[in-house]
Amino acid sequence: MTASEQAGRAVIRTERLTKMYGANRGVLELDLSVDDGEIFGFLGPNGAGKTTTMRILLDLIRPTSGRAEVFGMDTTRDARAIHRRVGYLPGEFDLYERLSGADTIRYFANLRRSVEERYVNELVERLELDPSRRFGEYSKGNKQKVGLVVALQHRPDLLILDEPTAGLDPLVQHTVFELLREATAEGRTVFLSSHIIAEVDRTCDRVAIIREGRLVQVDRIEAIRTLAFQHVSLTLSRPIEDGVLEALPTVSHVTIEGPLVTMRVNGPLGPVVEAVAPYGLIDVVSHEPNLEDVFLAHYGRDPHVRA
Amino acid sequence: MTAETGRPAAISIGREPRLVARLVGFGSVFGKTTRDGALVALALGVVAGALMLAGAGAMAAEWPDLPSRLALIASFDVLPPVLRGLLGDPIGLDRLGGFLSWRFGNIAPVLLGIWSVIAMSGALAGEAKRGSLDLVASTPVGRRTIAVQKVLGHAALVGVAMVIAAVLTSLAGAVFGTLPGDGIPLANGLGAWALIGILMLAAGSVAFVAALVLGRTRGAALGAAVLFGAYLVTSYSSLAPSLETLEPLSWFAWTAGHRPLAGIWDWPPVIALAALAGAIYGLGVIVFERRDIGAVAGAGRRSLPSLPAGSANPFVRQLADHAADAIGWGVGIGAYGVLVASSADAFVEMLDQMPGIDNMIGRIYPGLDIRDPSAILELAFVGFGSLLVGLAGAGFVAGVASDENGRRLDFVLSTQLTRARWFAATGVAAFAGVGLTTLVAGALIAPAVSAVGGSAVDSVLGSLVLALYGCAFVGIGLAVIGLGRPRLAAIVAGAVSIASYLLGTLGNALRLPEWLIDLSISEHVGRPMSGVFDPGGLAVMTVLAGGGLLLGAWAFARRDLRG
Repeated sequence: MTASEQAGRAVIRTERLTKMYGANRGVLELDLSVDDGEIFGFLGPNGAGKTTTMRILLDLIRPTSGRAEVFGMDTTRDARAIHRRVGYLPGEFDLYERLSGADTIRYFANLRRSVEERYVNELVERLELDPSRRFGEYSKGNKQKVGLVVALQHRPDLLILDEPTAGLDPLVQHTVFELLREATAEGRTVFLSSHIIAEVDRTCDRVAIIREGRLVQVDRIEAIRTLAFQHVSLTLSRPIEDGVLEALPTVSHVTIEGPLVTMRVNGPLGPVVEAVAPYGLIDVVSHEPNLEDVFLAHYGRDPHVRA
Repeated sequence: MTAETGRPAAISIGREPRLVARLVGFGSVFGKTTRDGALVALALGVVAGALMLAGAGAMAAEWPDLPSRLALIASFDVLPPVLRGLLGDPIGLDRLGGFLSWRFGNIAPVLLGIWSVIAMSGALAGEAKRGSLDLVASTPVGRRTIAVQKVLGHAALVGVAMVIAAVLTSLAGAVFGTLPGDGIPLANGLGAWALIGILMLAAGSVAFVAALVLGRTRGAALGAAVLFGAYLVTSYSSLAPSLETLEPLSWFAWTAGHRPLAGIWDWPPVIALAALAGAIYGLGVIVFERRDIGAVAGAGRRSLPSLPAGSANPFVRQLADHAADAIGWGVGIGAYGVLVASSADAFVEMLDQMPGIDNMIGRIYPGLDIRDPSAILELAFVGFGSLLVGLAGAGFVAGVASDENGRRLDFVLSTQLTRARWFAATGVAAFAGVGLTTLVAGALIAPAVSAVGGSAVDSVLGSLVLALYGCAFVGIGLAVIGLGRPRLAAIVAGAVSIASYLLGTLGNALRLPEWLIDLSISEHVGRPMSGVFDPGGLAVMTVLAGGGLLLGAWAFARRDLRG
């Protein structure tokens, strides 16, 4: 596929997108592309720039420099046209305390004017929301459900969801991701941020990892796993000296505890096996990295290394 | 969820919102704005109209015939402007409409204008702070439409309130008129209340734009400062050259000639003011379109000094939260006092040119040395100044209540801190906020009084009485919080403060029963700026403050937290 063909499929595209809040960094020179029909995960710790990026895409805030396009339209100039085709769930929100959930949903349905009553009620039922209660009386999770119905109810071509499962119990989390998979099955696109990496790992087609406002990795999840390191545990019959494994260019994060050696290996295992052979190799265990490992590695944390 | 099936209740959504829902309901941003504010608009319209009915009744009872009204006019013609107080020039007092216009026409847009200031400062900035604006602005409605519909929604509500008030005003003329010219045609009522509505909307327009740039609280503060400042400048412009210089800037002065209830019409300045307010709202819409949603300019955060953010204990933390607002209120109230005090010399010169005025004032204010510089503060500052201190106190009550409303208390009270201790500490901090307000005001007023030969000590002691006055309303608000209504606490404290002021200033004119007027706390402050104190009043204020705190703490320790 050529670059121009790929660009033609992009639902979201940013070029050198930068947002500064005075002297504080929002995002820096972000080049991002989300394709039509995929579930795209946007990962990063708090304050990395995920919400800033999403709010720029909705024209809630304006870029300091660079540009952003949704459906090929400029986010600042064509905001209304974009909004017609987008459903948005903010990461933090509070709606109208005295309105019931039903009134809140009805209000946003009226602002959109292209909402099927049947689908709204289906969403309410599947998310197990009681819409008769006042918004101010809802728990955090139920408020989130109202937000999800508001974002999903008009079957938007693009869903921009900032932490969609925050505050939800595992069963409802599962329902949410089920709804998202159904959306993409209908040819719609999902751009979401989440801290539940395991769920992103299972659901998303591609992910981007953002760190301190900059993209550090974008790829398909399988490719990320393939390119990533493996966690290797070895059991030896004799203690190995310090420095033997560290001398190998593909090995890092070596921990030696008596006969048990753990390490991270970026590449084939052959050289490692050769290096430890003189110490009586008894057992080798290799863990395929998951998305969480990759994510944590980008932040200098290794879940397999004990503190 | 229905009890029988456990299934959620169905939500009905039409393909297109009905016209009624677009006008008053969930069919549009305009409709939701009018729906949310409808009760307030109806209540304010009825209360304003009821005041006109009560005023007309009092007029009919006290001055039913022409000779008594001519005597009324004669007594006011000789009064210097300061004694006419904040009521403006008496125009057409021989008619019922003229009396109502004089008694209520000037103060009504100030008190009702507070509604516009609060509503318009929160229209977009409040919703942005809550986070709901992100959802509204991500729909296809468009930012311009959202802002325009919010403004038009509030304007419609003000219009409804004004029409209700106009109809009741016209009814007052029909019911209580005793002379041929006492009838008030509906057109005159509408003309008078149209001006009041436009004055309200003008104050709201300043708050609307300022809130978009500085945030809701500072926007409201700026709108209120412009509202009160414009009113005070016009009311006391004849007192001092400094105020007279500022008078052309006040829209109250521009429109002073439009008094339809007195049969005097002057539409051009009213239309000009409406156009100005429209332009300011237009500017706000442009600002909203161009700025990031929720962005607040740094100047808004740095404009006032504050105490270091306290974390030592709940008292320090709460006081640190109040400090900037307290200083802002104190500077505003103090500046008002300084302007009044600095006009003492001009006031005495004016008295010298009016033979016999000393005796007349002596009858109205027995024991007051009208030539003492403190006396002018008594006449022109204490009444409205105490209202402002009461409103500041209501603001601090809102700060205390916000801990529970914002669910911060869930964190705070999960520590070993007891409920009673938290309540006492934050309640005392609210009292301290009032104290800081009056301390700043007193520190500004005392040198000004001293400079014109008055007693700085009296003005400082007077400020302390105002502090106790404000604490009484804080006490009422704290009791409301404790009794389980934290969301209503500031509203109740502010409403009681306004009611007290209205009873004190209008009670006699409305011929209200003495026992009712005595309920006004402002009737019991003595003459604090002249060193004359009312021990009974001070005791009542102390009981209200301390009793409110104790009652609130007692009740708060025995109820569920709200959130």
